[in-house]
Amino acid sequence: MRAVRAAFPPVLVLALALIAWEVAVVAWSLPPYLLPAPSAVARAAWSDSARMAAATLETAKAAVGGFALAAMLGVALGSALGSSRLLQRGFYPLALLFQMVPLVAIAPLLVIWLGYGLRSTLASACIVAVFPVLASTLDGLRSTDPGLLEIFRIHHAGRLSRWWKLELPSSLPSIVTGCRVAAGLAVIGAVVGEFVSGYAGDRAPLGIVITTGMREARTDIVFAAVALSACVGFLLFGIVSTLGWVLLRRWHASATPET
Amino acid sequence: MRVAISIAGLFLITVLAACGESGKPSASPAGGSSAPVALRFQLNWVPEPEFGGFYAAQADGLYRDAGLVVEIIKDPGGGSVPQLVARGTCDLGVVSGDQILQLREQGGELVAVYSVFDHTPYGVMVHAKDAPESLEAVWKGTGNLALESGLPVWKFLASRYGPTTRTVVPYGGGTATFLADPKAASQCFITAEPATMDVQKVPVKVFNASESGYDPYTVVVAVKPGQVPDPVLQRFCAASQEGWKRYLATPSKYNPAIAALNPAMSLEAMNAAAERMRPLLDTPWTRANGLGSMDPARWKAMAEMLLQAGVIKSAPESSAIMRPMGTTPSKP
Amino acid sequence: MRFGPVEALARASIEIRAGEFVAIVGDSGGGKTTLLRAIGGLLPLAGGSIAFQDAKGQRVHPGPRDLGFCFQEGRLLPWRTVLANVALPLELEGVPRAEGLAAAADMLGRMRLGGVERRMPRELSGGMRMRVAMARALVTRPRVLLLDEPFGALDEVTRQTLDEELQTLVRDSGATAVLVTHSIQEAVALADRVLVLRGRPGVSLAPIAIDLPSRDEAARLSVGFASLCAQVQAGLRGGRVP
Repeated sequence: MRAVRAAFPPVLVLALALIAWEVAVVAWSLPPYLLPAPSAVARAAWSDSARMAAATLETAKAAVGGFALAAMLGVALGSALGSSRLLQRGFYPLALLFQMVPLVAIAPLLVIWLGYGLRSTLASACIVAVFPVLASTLDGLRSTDPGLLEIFRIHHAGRLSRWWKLELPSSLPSIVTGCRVAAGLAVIGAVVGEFVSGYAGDRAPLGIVITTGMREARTDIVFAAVALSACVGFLLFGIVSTLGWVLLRRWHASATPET
Repeated sequence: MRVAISIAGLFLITVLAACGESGKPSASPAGGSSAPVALRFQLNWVPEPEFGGFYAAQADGLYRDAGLVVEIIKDPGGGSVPQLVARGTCDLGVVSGDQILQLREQGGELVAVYSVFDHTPYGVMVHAKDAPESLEAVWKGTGNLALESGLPVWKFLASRYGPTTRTVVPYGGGTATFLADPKAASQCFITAEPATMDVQKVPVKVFNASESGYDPYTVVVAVKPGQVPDPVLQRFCAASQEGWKRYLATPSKYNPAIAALNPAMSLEAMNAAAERMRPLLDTPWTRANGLGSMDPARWKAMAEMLLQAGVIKSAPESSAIMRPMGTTPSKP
Repeated sequence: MRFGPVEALARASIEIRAGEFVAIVGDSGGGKTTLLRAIGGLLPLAGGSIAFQDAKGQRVHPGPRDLGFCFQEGRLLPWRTVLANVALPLELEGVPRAEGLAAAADMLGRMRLGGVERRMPRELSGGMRMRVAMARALVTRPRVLLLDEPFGALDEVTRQTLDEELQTLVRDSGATAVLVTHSIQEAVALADRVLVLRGRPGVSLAPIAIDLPSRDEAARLSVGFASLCAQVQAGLRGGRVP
């Protein structure tokens, strides 16, 4: 139950913030289109729960799928760059491009290349999430203990053997950190991608719920959708962290309980 | 933890904004004062022929002659002009007629004073080859239909014809996907996509939304009640009307200046757009009552239709949402 | 086994016989570790040569199994259990997994480390970790064991205990051992010969034979032991080496 105790402070802060928000809306008579009260947001989500749930599921598919792809791609590309100084110097700046180009500019292109729907939203989630994993993988590989590298050299270990048995496990703490960052970004990428590629109708993802809500001046719906996408982000972050803990708890300081 | 902080931050920023901007009227009260009145006029899109008359009035000094200094503010597409006008952040703004009704239900009050289009410029565009015969046929066809989710006109069409059988995809990513797909249908705005297709020599068929019976005043100038004194409003509307008259007479005279403000649209497209929009502005009604004038009965009809389609919960009286030009707007 | 001259370090030529236990002492920075690493093939030589010979005097090239290394930091893989760590050299050689693990378990058993097979390195004390490192070095039954100040980070008591264990292990396996150390006591207690590397960088490598009647725990307290240590000390200072 340490988890429950750990969750208490942020939950308390959140509750206080929500109460203050509700009070402020009432006290200042803020119109709903400007700032809806948390109760209005909750009501908007509840009264439309089927649509909101379906939308959250759609967005979650894109975010989780995009993240998984980004994690695999990031580790693969990071390992490829880590294996050769030349490759690194040639391709690292290009990899940075993933990070730099604004998603809102690429997203329409993705629609043209991949079509509407899950394929392009997953792609936009992936694009945004790749770089943190790539960079953290590369960083981890480059920080491999030279003493251990020597042990592998002494025993004439092959390249693949070295990567799989030494460099990758050694980089795991760094990769997990990169994945944590990537998780949140994947959700943002999915939602932004949905703005231009999501289907409307009963399979509409959260991005479409947001754009529709904005067009209808329904700020309460927009807030509800934003809160739900934040939940997806939290869920993904939690999954990544738990996986990281499982992989690292036996041997890495970062995953062992505080004494 | 992060959710708490971001919500708290968002809430704080909005509350500060709310406290700061409470819509103090910026225009001076007395109508006969010699100092020119400054007006912030927020557009809801980039400079285009749909705002041609306002730019013409600006270019020919009509606002200046009326004792007004009008700052025309363009909008790259944020979509929040109704809220900005309701807050008083700008004095006048271009909104869609139905947005006035939608915003009302969310606590924002706006009043329309001038309508650019007499008939709605919204429609659905398909490729001319093998095109369906009617708007309803398009709606009940197969293939993709790109539209802006949340636009009341689509809700109305759904209530009138039943839900669309097409696959609805987002509108606004440009025309590339439409061009690539011969069966595609797309929401269109008369001065935008059809004009672009004309310039690219792509044959299209445009079905105006009014075919369904829903013909709201779109592209209207709205104010927050009490924000701008009536005499000032009248002068603005009169000058704008003259500007529109001149624009419609010779759009090619004023389009170069607009094109300079909007590098994304070619002069050729702008000229094509002006021609496309002409029949929607120059109508028997506007010939009889003046450009920009509005029929209260049509506002009432639109409110009823939106009520029927489930877009709004109650239909207000037309006097609450529009003021025909020349009448004094007052707080209800 | 015979070693040729290693010019960067010494102008003498050193021969180390099979089964011999040689200790190298010298000032820090003198190049003891460099010499060891050169012997182990971890460093390219600018001049001179290192040669391995078999019993018939034929030149042989040491295979991966023939050399065992033990470093001061232990260098165990933190994410592997003790057992998997010890099995690593065999694994990297391509030995089937079951066989490798069995050999590792056997080695750990012989060193009375059977209880910690499933533990992770970070759960062990410094001394235990070094013993696991030694187990790993010996699991391939190497012909030559190279040790670079293996017990330098440990306290004196643990050090002596491990010295004894090392002595036993080396004797039982019959391997040739080269130990780099800065502890003269340790060198004298374990080695058949102590090579004194003088200078910084080392310029002379003088051997001192260690003749002790017995090598048991009490040996360190004997007079002979003390005098040998003094000899080595003198050698380091530059005095005459008889």
